[in-house]
Amino acid sequence: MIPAISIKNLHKRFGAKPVLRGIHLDVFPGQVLGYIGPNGAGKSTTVKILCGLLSDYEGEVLVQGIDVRTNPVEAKRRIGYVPELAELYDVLTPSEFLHFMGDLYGMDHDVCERRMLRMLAAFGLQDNVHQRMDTFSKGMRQKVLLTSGLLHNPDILILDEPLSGLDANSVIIVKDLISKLAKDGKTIFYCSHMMDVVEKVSDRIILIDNGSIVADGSFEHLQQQQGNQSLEQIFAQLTSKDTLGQAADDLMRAFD
Amino acid sequence: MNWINKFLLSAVLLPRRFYAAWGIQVPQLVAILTTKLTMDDRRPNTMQMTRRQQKKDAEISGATLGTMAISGVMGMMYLFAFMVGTDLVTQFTFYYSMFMMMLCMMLVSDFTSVLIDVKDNFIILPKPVTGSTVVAARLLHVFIHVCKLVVPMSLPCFVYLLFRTNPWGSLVFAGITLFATLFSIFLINAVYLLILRITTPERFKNIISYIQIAFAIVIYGSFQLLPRMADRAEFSSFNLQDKLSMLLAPPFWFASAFHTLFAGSSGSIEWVAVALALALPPLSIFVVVKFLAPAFNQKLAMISGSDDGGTTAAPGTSAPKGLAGTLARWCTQGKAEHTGFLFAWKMMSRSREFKVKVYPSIGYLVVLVVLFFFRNSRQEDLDVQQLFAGFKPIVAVYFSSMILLVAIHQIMVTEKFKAAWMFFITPLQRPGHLIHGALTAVLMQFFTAIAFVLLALGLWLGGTGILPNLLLALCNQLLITYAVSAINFTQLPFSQPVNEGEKGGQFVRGVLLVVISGVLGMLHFFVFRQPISIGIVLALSITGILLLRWYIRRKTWLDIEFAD
Repeated sequence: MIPAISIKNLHKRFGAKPVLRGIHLDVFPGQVLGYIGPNGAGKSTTVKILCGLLSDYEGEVLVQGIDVRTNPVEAKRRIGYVPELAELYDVLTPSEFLHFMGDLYGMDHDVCERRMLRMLAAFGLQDNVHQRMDTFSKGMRQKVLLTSGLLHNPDILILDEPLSGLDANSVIIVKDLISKLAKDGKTIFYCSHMMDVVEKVSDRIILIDNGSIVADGSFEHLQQQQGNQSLEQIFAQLTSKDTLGQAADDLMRAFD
Repeated sequence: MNWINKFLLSAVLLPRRFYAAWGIQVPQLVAILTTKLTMDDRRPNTMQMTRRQQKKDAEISGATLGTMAISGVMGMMYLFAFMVGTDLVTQFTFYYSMFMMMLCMMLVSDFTSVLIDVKDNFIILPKPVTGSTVVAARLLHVFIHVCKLVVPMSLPCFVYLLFRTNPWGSLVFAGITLFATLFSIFLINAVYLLILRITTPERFKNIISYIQIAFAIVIYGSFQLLPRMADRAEFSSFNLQDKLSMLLAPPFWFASAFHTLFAGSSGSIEWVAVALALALPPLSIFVVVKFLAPAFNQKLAMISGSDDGGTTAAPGTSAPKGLAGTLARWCTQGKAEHTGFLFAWKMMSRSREFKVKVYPSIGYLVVLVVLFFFRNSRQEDLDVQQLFAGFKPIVAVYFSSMILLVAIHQIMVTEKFKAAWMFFITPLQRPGHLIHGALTAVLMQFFTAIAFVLLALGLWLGGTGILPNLLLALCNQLLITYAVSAINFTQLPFSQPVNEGEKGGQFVRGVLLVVISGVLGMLHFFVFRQPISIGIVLALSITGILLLRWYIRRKTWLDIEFAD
């Protein structure tokens, strides 16, 4: 089986500072990959490279066998990307914005319209389709962004903190959606800091720290390796230099 | 989208096949342009920013028409060029100088929202769109944007030439203007890239704001000065034709091109200029499309990169040392005032937003003051001149109150007004202390500089005899500032959204302010030559300042207006 995403010996530096130091990774269709790591570990850089936003890296990155560096357009066609910060052109209405997205993917207008209306209605935004988004709450924007990532029915979905700002009900919908998409054969690349969600939705977890992969496996596999702990504890164990309990003690001592 | 945008869009899309042959994805190109134009119409542009305060709830639409109207008015002002010099080449050199300069300035400002929309990085770049499509979309977007500026801007000259020469003249003018416009786009693009090459993207936006400030001042100055210079004898007999060094000035190329195509050439220098005017713009656009723009996109993608570290504050800022710390210790009483001072001082020194809005007003004022002396020294009623003799430096002081008032208005507003929650959760007893601290910071940063310059200037122009009057004027300037702050400073520093700065009562307050300054100025004029009266008014003024300081400090939470 061809991996949906194949990363070989990926190195990337910003100036003199190495950000990624030799990432090797194959992700297969139907997998939900939780991509986690502390701030500055290199998660966003990996995502940017996968999405074809950065091309000056060393190593090889293939999306469904297509080289992202030499054929970024073909690679991008297969990817749906939901960026971290609710970045959208907020003077537009959801309808205008999503049609724009559809056009960029070369979608048929009617197909786009039908899917958009259905998806927005599923998110409870049916009454806001023609309102400018500058008045939208963070959660509403996030729903529009999620819709924009799904609209062209991509094989690979890259989600960067997709649940931020969503209310509990929407979180349930999205989590459910992720597992259904995976069952449908889609590949989900899920970046997040919310360990409890990653623990539940991912069937494989990659933990990176300082530009290198420090753990790779299912949650159960990680538990076997690191002792029967929660993902949060495993994360702390593998990525923090000092004990975190010490940090809390130091914080308390600051009052003295 | 309005009909103007629709028309321009279909016009730029005419060479579809040509685009497709260049590897540009036409449907995506159409989508990007349509969206960008729709957004343009809903976003206030640079020239409308200042008017944005009105109608806070109204959705902005039809911004295009506003832009075009303003450009039209400017185009009429350029006609002053035809009062200069003896020949067409000289006149058109002046015309194209103003035209290209104004265009470049508008582009520099608008590019920050048009070309440097960092959201494109997340929205457009991850989509299956080729680099050349994105570049083409940007260029055509800029081109349409420029058309909306250039067409109304050149229309007055077009009509003028129709009357002065013939339809052929107007037609040639239209063609040459197109080339001048293309070249201006290239210039701006090249300058942007150059800046990006020598500095980090982080500092890039800062540099752009300084360019904006400088341009704004230059333009304002040239608009004020040029018409006045034009009626001087040496300017009407000015001749730029056949000067070899003029080949260094792009406006001269276009002027020569017009002259040659319209009336036939007259010299070898002009032929070189014509060749440059006709060959360089297409060539430069080719360079932009092929080389500059892709490099530009690459750099642009980094602007919002979270990975390339932010600016770090100078070490040792935890304990307020340095100038700000010392001044804060000297000029404030109590913790809250001290805090307000340091907060406002740092925000004013570091906020790009604040600088862009306040610094140009300093430049405008310099231009105004220069003009004031320049004009009065030449021609005016002798009676009036005698009446005002010696009072001019004093008027300059009253003029300069404007800077403080702009700064005080701007210190209340910010795009990031929500960060002001920190004031509301802290157990601050009297917000008046905080406001007073911030106000002191404004005075320290701006008033001390203004006072120093004006004192030096006044003593130089009017001798030591003018000192009491200067002191009184400066005191009155403080009085005005404090009075306006007492009335207007009803919000905490940097706590209001920009478009809410002008609330209903603010207009009345503005009028009140003009009345206060006027009355004070008049009062001063009456006592101008009476030393004893000056002393009395000075004492009154100082008492007023002290009272107002006391009043501002006493402001309670009930006096504070809240943002939504």
